[in-house]
Amino acid sequence: MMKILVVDDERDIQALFEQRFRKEIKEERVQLYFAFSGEEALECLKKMEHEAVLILSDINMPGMNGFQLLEAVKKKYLKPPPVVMMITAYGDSENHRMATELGADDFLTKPVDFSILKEKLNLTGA
Amino acid sequence: MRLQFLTSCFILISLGSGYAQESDLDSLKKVLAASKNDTLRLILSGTIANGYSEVNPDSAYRYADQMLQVTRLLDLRMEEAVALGEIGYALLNMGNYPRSLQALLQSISITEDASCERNVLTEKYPASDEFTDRSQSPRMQRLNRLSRVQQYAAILYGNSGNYEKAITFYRKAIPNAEAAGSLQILSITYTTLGRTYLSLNKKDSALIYLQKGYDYAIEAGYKRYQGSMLLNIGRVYLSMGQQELAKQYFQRSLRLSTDYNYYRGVVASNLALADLYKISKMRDSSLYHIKKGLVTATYLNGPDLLLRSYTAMAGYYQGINSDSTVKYQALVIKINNEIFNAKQVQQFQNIDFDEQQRLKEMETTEREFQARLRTNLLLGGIFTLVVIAFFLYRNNRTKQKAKQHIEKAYEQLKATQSQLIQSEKMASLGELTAGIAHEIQNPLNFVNNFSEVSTELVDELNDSIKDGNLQAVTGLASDLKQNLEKILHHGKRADGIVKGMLHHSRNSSGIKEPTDINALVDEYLRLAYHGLRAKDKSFNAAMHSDLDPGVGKVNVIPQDLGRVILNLITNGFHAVSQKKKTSGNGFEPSVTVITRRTSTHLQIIVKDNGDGVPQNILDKIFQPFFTTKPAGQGTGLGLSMSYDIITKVHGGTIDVDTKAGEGSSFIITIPINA
Repeated sequence: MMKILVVDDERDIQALFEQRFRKEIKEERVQLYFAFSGEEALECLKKMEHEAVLILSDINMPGMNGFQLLEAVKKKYLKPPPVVMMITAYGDSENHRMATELGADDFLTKPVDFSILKEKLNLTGA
Repeated sequence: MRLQFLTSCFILISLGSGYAQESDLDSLKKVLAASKNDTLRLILSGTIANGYSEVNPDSAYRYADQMLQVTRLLDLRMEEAVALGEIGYALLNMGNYPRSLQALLQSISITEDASCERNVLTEKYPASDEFTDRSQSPRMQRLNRLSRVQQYAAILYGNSGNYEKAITFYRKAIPNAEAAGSLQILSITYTTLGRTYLSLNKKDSALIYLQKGYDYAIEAGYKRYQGSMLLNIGRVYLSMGQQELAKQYFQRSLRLSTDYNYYRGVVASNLALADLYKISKMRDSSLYHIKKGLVTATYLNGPDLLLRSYTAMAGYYQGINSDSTVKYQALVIKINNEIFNAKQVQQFQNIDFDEQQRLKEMETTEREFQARLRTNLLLGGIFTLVVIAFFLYRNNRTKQKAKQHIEKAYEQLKATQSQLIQSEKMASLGELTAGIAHEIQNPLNFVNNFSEVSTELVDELNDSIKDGNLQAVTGLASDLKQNLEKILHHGKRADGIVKGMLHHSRNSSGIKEPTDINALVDEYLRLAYHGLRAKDKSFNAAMHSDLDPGVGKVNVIPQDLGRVILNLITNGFHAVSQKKKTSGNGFEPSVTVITRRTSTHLQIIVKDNGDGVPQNILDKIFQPFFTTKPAGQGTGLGLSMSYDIITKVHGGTIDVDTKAGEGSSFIITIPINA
């Protein structure tokens, strides 16, 4: 089962993801975790130690932002670090470049196209 | 060779001028006859004429006439006047008063006109008489000539019995002689003037002028007429009954006149002594002097002197020898007839009349000249005024142009200012753009995805209805409703952002409208925050709001007030992020926006915990273009515009409360109308 940690300061993101992945959740192929800030995400990760985790993170957040979280995750979980997918605003090449440098594995653009996300997660048709 | 000849001639001339002897004159006449140089001939003939002037008037006349011809040939007007003067004086001594007057008046006419100064003989030529000084300026030379000829004319009028006119000419001659600085002429003029007064029996005046003439002669070392001066002084004394004193003067006069070859003086002195002796009944002595006088008068062939000698002779013989009396009386009558015959008198009067006419014409000319001068002055004045008016006009034009330039520049400045205000708005809009993109993509994300997922839920709902699974239907319907609410919520959110952005970017409506202040503050706080975060990824600051729920709606211009709030918040975030860079991890940057409402006022406070505004720039921060941001990052108009919006547009105040190291609070206070 794939564990996905969704990090965003928008509270409605939880309802959206739960609805979008309701089939996968029902079929126990995906387990979703939510954090509403960078700090919260790190706390969450501690509890989820040694478990394969996919992190979907927003960038602009109060407190620890997406980059800081990415940096912290990639430093802390060296072998093997969790896959981190950054969600950026449309056409924000600067953020894209910076996230790549910090070791981001993939990108999603807001508004998120969930079919693409599922493709990336190899969840389509499974 | 030629030069040598000329030089020797000049030596001869200088010998000849002054007290010329017959022998000197003869030598000069020979040189003149041999000379072909016109200028030399002019000077020679003038010198000879002058030498003969009181010795042989006929010869004087002849040579003066020769001189006149040459002066006209050479167009030397000044010398022409000299020649005419000599001619006039010779004719005067010849008893030809009409022609004398004519010549003298011509001479006066020339020397009264300054144009004769243009062509004068230079200093290298010797003088033809003792009055000439060629080293003087042409003007001085002219005045010298003029005074001399005026003096001749005065003598002429005196001799013809017109004393009044004589005095008039003396009065003209004196200032000219003074201007020319000629002591000699002054000496002669005062002497002859004194004699005129004596003729008028004004003894005191006569004595004063004669004495003055004598004094000038002594001062000038001018000896020729000194005898004549003493003679006349003696005559005054004689008329006063002081015979002994008079006799002394007469004797001295005779001596001096003889010594200095002034033959006319010799005649006059002898006759005066004869007269004196006659009164003293010393008849032999009287006759002796009459005879001596007559001899010299005969030698000179001067009609006036002969007349006086014959008169004295006739007087002497009266009552003694009737034949001799008759003889001399006949001679007297003859000469008198010659001089004062009807024709001559008529001619003289004619010339005198002509002269009067000429003087009148001159006066008319003078008046015309004055009138012309006045006209010219007037025209000149008008011209000057026109010039001044032109310059004033031009000056005015320049000022007008300058004013236009200034007005144009002012218009441009105003346009630039509004452009700057616009660019300030755009700059703050730019800061917001990233924030807005972020802000708008979040609601869009929800709207899109909740819609899409809702479609799926509807399909599921239909399936559940078909299956008759009511529990599932209820759950799905609940989810759908929740989704739709979220779609609506985020749709409105996006709408609000877009409206806020438009509000900010478009020109102020300038109309106050009831505005939800808390919503406005919240919106701009978020926009500012995200804008700064988008620009500076490392930026992180807590944003707090303490909004008084009782604030509600207040009549403001929302775009303008929003701009002020945005500006103050942006400044606050900037301040805390600056402090964050310099201070350690212990610093927690925060910006707080507070709203409060009293019964009369709305208060919005933007508070940060940055470094505060330094005291030395506190009074400058509201000035246009003042900025502490690096070049290119701030327009320096934010606070200035905010100040204007709050004070001018909303009638409020904007104050700053700052403490170094602790932070600043910008306090906006706006009165609530109605």
